[in-house]
Amino acid sequence: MADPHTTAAGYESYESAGALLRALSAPIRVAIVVELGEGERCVHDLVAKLGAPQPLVSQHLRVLRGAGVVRGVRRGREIAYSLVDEHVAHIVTDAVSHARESR
Amino acid sequence: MSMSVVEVRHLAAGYDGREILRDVSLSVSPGDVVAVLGANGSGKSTLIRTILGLVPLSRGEIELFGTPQPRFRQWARIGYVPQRLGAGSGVPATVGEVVASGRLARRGIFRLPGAADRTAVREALTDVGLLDRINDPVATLSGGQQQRTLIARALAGKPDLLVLDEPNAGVDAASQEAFAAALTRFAGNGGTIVLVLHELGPLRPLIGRTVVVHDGRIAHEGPPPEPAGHHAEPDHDHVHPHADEVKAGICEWAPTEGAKSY
Repeated sequence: MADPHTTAAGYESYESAGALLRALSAPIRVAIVVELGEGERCVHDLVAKLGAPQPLVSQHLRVLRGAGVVRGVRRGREIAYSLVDEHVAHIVTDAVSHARESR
Repeated sequence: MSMSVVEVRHLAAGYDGREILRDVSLSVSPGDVVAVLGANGSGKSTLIRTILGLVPLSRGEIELFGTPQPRFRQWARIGYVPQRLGAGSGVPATVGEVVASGRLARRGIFRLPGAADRTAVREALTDVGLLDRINDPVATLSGGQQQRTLIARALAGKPDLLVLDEPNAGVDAASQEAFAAALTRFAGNGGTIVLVLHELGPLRPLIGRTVVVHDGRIAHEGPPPEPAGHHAEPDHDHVHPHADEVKAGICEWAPTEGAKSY
């Protein structure tokens, strides 16, 4: 098998991983992912939970949606957000517990 | 010496490896009203989005209310009105409901709205001149009135700092006057305002300082120039003489914000 460090396709996956980690780089976005790890949430749930104004939470959700981390589905008057897959929840959970352990 | 509301030191930031801001320093003190000006693509929106943590910085430091931004948690102290992304977003809510949602970050989810919340909503709507529309569906309002509703929502959260991204874009003159008055009252009560503007317009008397972003740097910083001669004409697009290139993109008035996404 070709060395993934040198093949174009191998390196592309590193770039995607870098983009994912950048999308997760703000503490408030980590908090959103942790919250969504518990289940689907509407923007107002996240606003109340995180104590950040709705436009700011919405813009953070746009960053996460752009990175393919979350998706939104309309539920009546609101959009419900959830994680696209379990992997991201694991990455963030591991990062958070790592940070706690290394304190 | 009072603590800065926003302190930006040697900031560089951008998207996907493309650096939009190269070396920006900016200090905003309590009660300041700062207008960030610049052409399309100059980085003026990126600057406030980076300050708010929406764009990662690649170099430099940001402090909010004296706290390094990565550790800042009191987001409810900041009212934010992003650039408009199309009218209304189709949400079937009343004006009062939209403005009341501006209380949620402060109230939290476990407490029901109380008298203070209702008062804040009515005050904010009075401020932008829309109290008589409190029970109307947002969708029945003009674009300018919808924008006033969003500003009222931010005001209802009783922020210490108000950040507005092109609040005048595509907004009728009456609405511009209405929220100029609302922002003047907010500033008069000691509030701090940072707003991205394409031109000063009716907000001009309120602006204490203009910052012109050009090519990822601050090209000019100072009090807004006095309108005189042809500069005073209502359709004159004000640009500072040091930043002629800023003249390039006038079309931010055109309703194309929906196409802009980052």
